[in-house]
Amino acid sequence: MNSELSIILVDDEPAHSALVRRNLIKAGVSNPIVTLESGQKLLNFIFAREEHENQPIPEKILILLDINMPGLHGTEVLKTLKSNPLTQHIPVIMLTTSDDPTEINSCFQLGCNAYLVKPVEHHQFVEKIQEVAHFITLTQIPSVVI
Amino acid sequence: MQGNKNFYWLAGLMLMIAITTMGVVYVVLWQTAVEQKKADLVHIAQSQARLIEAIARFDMRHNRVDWETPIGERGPTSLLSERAGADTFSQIVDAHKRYDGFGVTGEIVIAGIENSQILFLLRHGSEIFEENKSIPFEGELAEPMRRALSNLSGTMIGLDYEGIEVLAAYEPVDVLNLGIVAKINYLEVKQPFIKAGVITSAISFAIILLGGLFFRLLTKPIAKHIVDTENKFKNLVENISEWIWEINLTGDILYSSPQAQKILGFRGEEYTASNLFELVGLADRKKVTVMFQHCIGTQQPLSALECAFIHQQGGQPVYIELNAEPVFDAKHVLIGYRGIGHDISERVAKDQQLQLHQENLELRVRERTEELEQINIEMRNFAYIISHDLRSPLVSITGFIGELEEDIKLIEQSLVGQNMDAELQDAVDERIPESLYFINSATAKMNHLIQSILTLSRAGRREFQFAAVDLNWVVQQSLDSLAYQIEQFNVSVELGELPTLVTDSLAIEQIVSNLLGNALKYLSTERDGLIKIYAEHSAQQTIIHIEDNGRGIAEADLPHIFELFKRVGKQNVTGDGMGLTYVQTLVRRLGGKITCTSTFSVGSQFSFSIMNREQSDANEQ
Repeated sequence: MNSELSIILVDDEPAHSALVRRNLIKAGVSNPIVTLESGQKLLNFIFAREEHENQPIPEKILILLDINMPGLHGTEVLKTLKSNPLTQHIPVIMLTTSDDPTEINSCFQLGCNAYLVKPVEHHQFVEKIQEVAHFITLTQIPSVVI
Repeated sequence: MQGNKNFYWLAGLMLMIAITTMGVVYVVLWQTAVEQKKADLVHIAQSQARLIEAIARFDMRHNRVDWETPIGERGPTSLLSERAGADTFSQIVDAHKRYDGFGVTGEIVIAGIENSQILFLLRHGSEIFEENKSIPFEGELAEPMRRALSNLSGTMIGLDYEGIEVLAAYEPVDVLNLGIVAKINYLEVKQPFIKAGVITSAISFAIILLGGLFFRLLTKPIAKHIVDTENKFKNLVENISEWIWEINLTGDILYSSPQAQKILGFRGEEYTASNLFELVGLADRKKVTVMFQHCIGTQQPLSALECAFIHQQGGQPVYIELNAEPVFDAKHVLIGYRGIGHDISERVAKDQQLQLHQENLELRVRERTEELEQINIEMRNFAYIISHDLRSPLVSITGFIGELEEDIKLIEQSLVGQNMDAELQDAVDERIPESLYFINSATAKMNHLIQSILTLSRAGRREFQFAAVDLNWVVQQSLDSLAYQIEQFNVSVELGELPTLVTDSLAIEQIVSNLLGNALKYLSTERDGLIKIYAEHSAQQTIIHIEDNGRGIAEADLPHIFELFKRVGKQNVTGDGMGLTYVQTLVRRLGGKITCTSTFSVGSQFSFSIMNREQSDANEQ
């Protein structure tokens, strides 16, 4: 996968983050993966750069966003990102344990680009990432062989 | 007493009338009698005078009498009898001697003037006959004669020559220059009238007295009856607890029973000078006035008007129910209302208390309902949150087991063909895979349970979409999806006539398919399966029965069949112990009830009711 695209993984559960990271790597995704533990940290990472001076903002990013998190709820983070003209182009994949249709529906209404229910097989990840990243720049996403 | 007083007034009045009538009659009679007497006297005096004149003229023509010289100038010595006209006069005296006079005191007096004296030539009454008496001309006595000698004619009441009051007619006698007076004592004229007056007065008094007494005698029982009746009613009115009143059309109180003191707190009898409407509290005054105006307008009775009066001492409201009948005068004109005031303060207080209690109760019920609803919501949320929060670690466990399995495979592969400790070999080949298998199946089961709770909580949260649903179609759909099992186990299905209901189609499908699924799952091995589906339709609800001849449920298990994760009986078929709980939740949410009757090894019958609703009720839940 094109190294220009960074994947930002937001999940309060370290075990989940670790699993996702492993799955992505197994699927052959070599792009840089940044792990953040809360929605607030993601917003800070994007909007309040002074905290991340030593960590330059990637040119292209894709966000994997958990919903049930303490503090800022995933849907609120999604709403913030998708309602801001500066960030609304960033692809966001909701990654959560909930398969509640109303929740899925509300996430799509807020503008999420994909919705995955945990546990996720690693090939599903890649499919979605391909699908979503394709949405930005097709050439940057190489085909992935599982 | 009032009655006696009235009686005396009445008697007095009768007496007055009698006296007045008598007086009038007496006066009229008296006047008539006096006039009559006067006429008589005038007649006597005049006829005598004319006769004397006639005789005198006769004598004048036939005797040598010096008629030219007036009597007074004929010389001082000549007495009237001896002078000119003496012949004439002697005839008259003679005539009078043969005449009895009139009345007891009636007298005819003839006089002339001689030496400024009135010389009475003749006094003739019934008892006296006297000649020649004289009194001075000037004086109070003999006023009638004075008038006659002054050439006057008429009648009068005055003193005669003896100073007695007389009724007299006086007349001059022209030829002889004499005066004639016919008189009678005034007392004699009065006497019969005084006597008659006394007698009639006495008789009248006696009659009035007797009549009065008789009247009193006759009316006494009547009066007594009236008084008694009045007392009785007064007593009644004053002693019943109701307040009795009478008002005119403007509400002024014409009568009020003393109950007003007790009910409305009047100290004295001021209530008799009050206005009924002004005794009503401000809050109700308009209502009462309007109500009365309406009754006055329609001339109808006033019925059960409840209003709050004001207590005259304490100022607190006194609740009174008013009932009144219109009062008409003799010409059938409405003049007021007469009615009863019933003190309903106690009842109103009780009503208010009751209302307060009711409100309290309603408030408490509402609070409790809200509490329960809140708890219900919390329960649903709890189930939802729990299932979500439990899934998160489960996802980690499942994920890392997958990782472990892959890693163990790597290890196994690298160990192939290498000599190993038997213990290690056993661990790698047997124990680790076995452990992983059990961990996997445990997590799978846990995942399933969580999923079930989630499904159930969603059944409680999902918004129903109400629409007309044909139950025949719903049942047919379920049977179609179960067609394989029906055929395999040779099950016959008897289908009754099913109605079309306004309900949530998804919920009813799930209920029916779960119950039919259960019926097929728990068939008896001893006989061919038979499933009956039929419905009972009433105005309020529809009851759907699903009956089977399966293995049945033991009586001890029956109360637990709807409990979550509870599976009863022989566990030889798959199930998550959630189906009936789910069905029950759905039925309850549709406003119905589900019951089960079953006999072990004979069969079961599940019956659920669905509240009927109109299409327009849709989605109100």
